[in-house]
Amino acid sequence: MNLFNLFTENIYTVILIPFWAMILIFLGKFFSVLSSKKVVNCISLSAAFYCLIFAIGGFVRTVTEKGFLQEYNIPFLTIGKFNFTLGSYFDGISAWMLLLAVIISFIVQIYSISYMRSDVGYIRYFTLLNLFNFSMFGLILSPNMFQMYIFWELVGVSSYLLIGFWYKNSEASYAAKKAFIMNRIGDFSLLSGIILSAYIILSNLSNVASISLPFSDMMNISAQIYGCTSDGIFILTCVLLLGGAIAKSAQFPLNNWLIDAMKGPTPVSALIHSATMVAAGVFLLFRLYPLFSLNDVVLNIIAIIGIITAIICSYSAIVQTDMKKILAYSTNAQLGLMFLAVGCCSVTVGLFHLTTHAFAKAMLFLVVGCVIKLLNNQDIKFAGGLRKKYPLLAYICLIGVISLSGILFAGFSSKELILGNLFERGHFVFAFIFLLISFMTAYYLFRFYYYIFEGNEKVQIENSKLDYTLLFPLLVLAFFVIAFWFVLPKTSDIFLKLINLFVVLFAVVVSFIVYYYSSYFRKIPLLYDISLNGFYFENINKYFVNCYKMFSNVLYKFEKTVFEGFVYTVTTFTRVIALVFSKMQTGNIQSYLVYSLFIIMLSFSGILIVYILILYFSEVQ
Amino acid sequence: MDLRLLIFSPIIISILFLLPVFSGKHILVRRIAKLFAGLHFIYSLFFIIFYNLDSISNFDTEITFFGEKWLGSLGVSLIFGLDGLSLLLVVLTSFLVLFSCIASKGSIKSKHSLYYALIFILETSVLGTFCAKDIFVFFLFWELELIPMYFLISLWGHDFAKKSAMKFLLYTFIGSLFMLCGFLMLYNFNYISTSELSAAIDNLNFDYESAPIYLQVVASILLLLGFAVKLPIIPLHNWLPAAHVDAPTPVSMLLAGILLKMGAYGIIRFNMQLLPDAFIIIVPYLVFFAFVNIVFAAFVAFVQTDIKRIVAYSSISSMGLVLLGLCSLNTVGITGAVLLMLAHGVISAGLFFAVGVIYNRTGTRNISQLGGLMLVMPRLALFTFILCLASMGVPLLISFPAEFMIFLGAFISAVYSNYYIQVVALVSVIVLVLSLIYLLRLLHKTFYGELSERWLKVGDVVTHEFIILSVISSITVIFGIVPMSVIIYIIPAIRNITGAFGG
Repeated sequence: MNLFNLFTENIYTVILIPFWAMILIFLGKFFSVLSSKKVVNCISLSAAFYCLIFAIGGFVRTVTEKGFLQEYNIPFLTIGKFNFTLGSYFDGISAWMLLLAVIISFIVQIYSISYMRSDVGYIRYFTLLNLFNFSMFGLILSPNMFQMYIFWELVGVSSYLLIGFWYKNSEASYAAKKAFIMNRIGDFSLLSGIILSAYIILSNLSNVASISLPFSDMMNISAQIYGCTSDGIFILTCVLLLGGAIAKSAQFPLNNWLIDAMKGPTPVSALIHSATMVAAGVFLLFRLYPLFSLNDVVLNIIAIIGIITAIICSYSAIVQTDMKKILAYSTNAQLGLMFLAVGCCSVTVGLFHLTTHAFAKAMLFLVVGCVIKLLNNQDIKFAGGLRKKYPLLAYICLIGVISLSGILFAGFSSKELILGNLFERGHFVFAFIFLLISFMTAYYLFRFYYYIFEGNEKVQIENSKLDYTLLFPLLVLAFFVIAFWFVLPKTSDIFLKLINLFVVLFAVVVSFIVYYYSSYFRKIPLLYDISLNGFYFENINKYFVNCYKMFSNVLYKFEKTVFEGFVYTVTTFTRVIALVFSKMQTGNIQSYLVYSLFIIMLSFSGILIVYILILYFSEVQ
Repeated sequence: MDLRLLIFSPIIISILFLLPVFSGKHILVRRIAKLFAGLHFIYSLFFIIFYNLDSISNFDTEITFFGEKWLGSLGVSLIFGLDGLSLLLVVLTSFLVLFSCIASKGSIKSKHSLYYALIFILETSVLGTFCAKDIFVFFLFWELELIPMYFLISLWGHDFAKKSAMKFLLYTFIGSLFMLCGFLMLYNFNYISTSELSAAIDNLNFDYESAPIYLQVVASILLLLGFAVKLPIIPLHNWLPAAHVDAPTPVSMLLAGILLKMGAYGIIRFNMQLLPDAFIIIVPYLVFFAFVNIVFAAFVAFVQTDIKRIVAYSSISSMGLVLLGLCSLNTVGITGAVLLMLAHGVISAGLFFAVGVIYNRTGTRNISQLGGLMLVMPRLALFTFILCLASMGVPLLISFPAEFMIFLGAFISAVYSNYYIQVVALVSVIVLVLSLIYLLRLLHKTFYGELSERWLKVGDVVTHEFIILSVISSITVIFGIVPMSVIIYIIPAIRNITGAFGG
């Protein structure tokens, strides 16, 4: 037990070690002393390994001891009675999330070593990856909303830097910009929410200690906030807090950035844009669940946003031909289902789905990474028949596809859990939509699989070797996908299992028919276009950007005409006056005499008029 | 620790530079200037070390002439002192003067000795402004600062430098006239109530009988007009983009880094400390102006095509945040505002320098002609990224705690009824998004994308540029991680002021 004490008591080092690794790699590159790739690998992997050991140790401790908690706080900002602390908060949920993030991050780093080998920005890549690890682990271990916000933004920053990793590519640059702005809208909302709740706590409860919403006391604080606010303000606070989660997890109004984020390197997509960072939004829901669950309206908002996202994204995934886009839409849809799970069922169900999805999706992304390496192309129309040459890759992919569709393995259990819960709690409409989404998920995932691995080869593969460092991570992830099947709890409702299985298998068959006899199928004009363009979110975004530009231009015009114009008017006026007066100085005495006579007359008549006026008015009174 | 030496040594050095011995020896002049500025900076650090946190006023000194006060018959004396607020601003000034001396290497090509002489005259006047404990001494130094700045912009600037310098001079000078009226009113209030002639800030006192509240409001508004030009508050901001853009790089650094802070400093020192009751009355209008500053400048920055103008407008937006923090009238908000002043001083100086490096290498500041510079200038790109991230308030960089405290302070402000400032603060948080948008535009249009062939031979930062950028970037990171090391100096001074507002 002593050993586990060591891990849990020092769990905050999991945040710091990637930070130091980042600084080390960064400075090493900067001063050109440690710029060899081997040294970088060594630093990065040992940092990740350290985190892995601690996360596992800590996790074991939380499993063996029920209700285990370890909190560690240091002051960050202290102004009078206000005290904002940073630190670590280690309980069941964070232990689970940390383990997940650490494992995937470790695996992705191994994978990246060979995937990024020939890239010029190798060292920059690992610096940024460690920056991401630092911020993600910091986010997971946050003891309060203040720290959560800090790392929330840092995660966004590192994601932005990694999406725009290939800076010459203008598409990547655009995608990075978009992701950052949308995330920042969420940050804005989250910060407003945090400050609003701090204000509520301060003004009504004078409970200064809980101003930064510490998670250790969340139940109590939530009840207090709920008790002292009107419904409107409470919902406003919750929605503002929720806004952060919506942006980070790419939910309905801000869902568009995740698809473009696929312009970054594929391991980054696997780590950040499918498994960890985008799950942070769901993690925030877990943390704030005590608050959100007090008002049914908030929970309904969460569920509805989730289901809308899931429908939109599943439907958009159906006709995509870009491999990474299919997976991105799928990720987005699954995130929507997690929102649904949290909104309608419970935190645990959401957490399970998050876990199973993270492993399977990270695995699929890494498979796609291998395929892209082989084909130098990411369009499924150009792929095909890879199963014959790379059976291992194909079977791993199949495991992922089966699991995500919910036929077998981990995905099966978590999907069934959601469905069971939906039925149990009487959300039949949601349950029906859920089945619809399951159908679409299975359809596009199997379509994805068929196109890449079945059929005939369409292009000659040149670099035909797959490194073991590329395959080993896949095997580990596949192991987890299967292993979770046995760990997760299962519902005993045979009826639901059968319905689910029937729907999904039907989708598989349909998908196969459409794939195999594709020449017999026609594109349905409107429906196809909507799906291909992802409900035209891109156009809506462009419209907003144009409005923003126009508004800025109007303001700039205003600045130019009014403020500049004012200065211009004043100077011109002065100049004209000066010109007139200087023209009057003719130099001959006669004209000066005329001026003075004129002025004397003017002033006398002025005095006279004033005098008469005064007399007149005094008479009147 | 002698404050007199700190304040007046630069002007003595500048007189030295004007001697004919130094004409034409520009390398020698630059070296001496850097050496002196470095020593001055180190000397100013000693003031931090020996600063007594328990006392509000430290290092008080009065300069007398043969035992006589300067203008003693008018109650005016050359008296200086430091509290936490002035202390930090003094160190910032000294630091930025050192760095602008280093930065002058590439961008100043003529009249070297005059240039450094003017820089040091400027330093003395700014330091005097921050340390003065007498309203007329404050005014004297405030006005003195105009002279070197006017020549620095007009003689070494580019494009429309003469015009911009004149604009700067006229705007500030007209503002100062109003300010002078305000000071005279304060002086008069004091005379009426105590029948003693005194202009020392600590001795000024007046009651409602001698200074009715409406007269106090008038005085407060008059003072504010002077400070508002410097800050700048938006209808009076027109000089700023012009002056920043046309000034040479080191002068832009000083302008953005120090001169804008003088306005905010004046508001804290005079409007808030001396006329708290009047300030409460005018502050709801100021909140509106702060909001306009924040949002308007952020939108206008987005459509600028000149990279230096983008940074200039971002300064206006940041100063709006400072104003919002001041309007909260509680310790949290004002401390945040002061921290943002310091943060902005460092960051905007760094950004102006980075932009100056780009201009120096490529010869253009037009955003549409740049692009892909990350390939040839990776180090500059790195530093610009850090500075931009710091400027947009990313956590663990210096302006995040400041912005957070400003928003929190504005939110918990108890002065207003009807949730007025709360709503404004809630809407102002949008600045997080707006500042991101214009800074991303700056970054992406200069560093991302394909490199044009014209810039293939552009070189990365050289040693002195590297030193400046790396030091400034590391400051933003270090103080972002441990903001408390700065805040502990600010809080006692601010408490002293907010005592009058009951917060």
